[in-house]
Amino acid sequence: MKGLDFVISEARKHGIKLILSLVNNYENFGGKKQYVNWARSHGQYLTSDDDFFRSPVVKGYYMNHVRVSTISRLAS
Amino acid sequence: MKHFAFVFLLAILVPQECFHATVEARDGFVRTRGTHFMLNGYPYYANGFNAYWLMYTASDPSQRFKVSNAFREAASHGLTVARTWAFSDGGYRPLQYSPGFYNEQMFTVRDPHFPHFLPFNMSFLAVFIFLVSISLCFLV
Repeated sequence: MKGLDFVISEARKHGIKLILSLVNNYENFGGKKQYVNWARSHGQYLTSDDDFFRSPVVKGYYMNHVRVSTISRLAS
Repeated sequence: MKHFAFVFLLAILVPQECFHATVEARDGFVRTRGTHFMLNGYPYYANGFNAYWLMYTASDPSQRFKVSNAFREAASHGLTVARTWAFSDGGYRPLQYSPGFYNEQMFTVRDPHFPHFLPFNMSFLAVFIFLVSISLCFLV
């Protein structure tokens, strides 16, 4: 067991429920800004971190992240 | 005729309400019903805390005791919910190196003590995960 699995397992042991955030509004630990920069490095012309909410490319990255997080949780 | 329509409407709605109640009751996940959080068919009230660092810290086995201690202390004070980061995008020791590429040390490795043919949520019935997939994190 590693990382997030350990956290979830320990939470259960202590009867604590979890709210798992999947992205940050601020730039700590990546967040919106990192997603927009990833899209820029793949040739997208984006002018604001708030293009997180507008760019189809960025939204695709994020939706994939949600899908991976959800399916990995359910499958493991 | 109005009365008939009303009864007909009830006949449609009531069984659905009952159905929802029984579905909600069993899986240990908190859900919303109207303006309430519901758990096992009852309104759920939470006392919780915010700890962004849990996954990051737990990815280093020598530091995991800090995660255990945090949960233990929180539980001893009657807290029942923790909000934490299930993301880390790019940068140092990320969960997601780049779009779609993940670091398994941070993320998901199977529990060797748990049979793999059972779905995850059966192994963690007491834990529910509230996936806040759309909302962003406005507190750090």
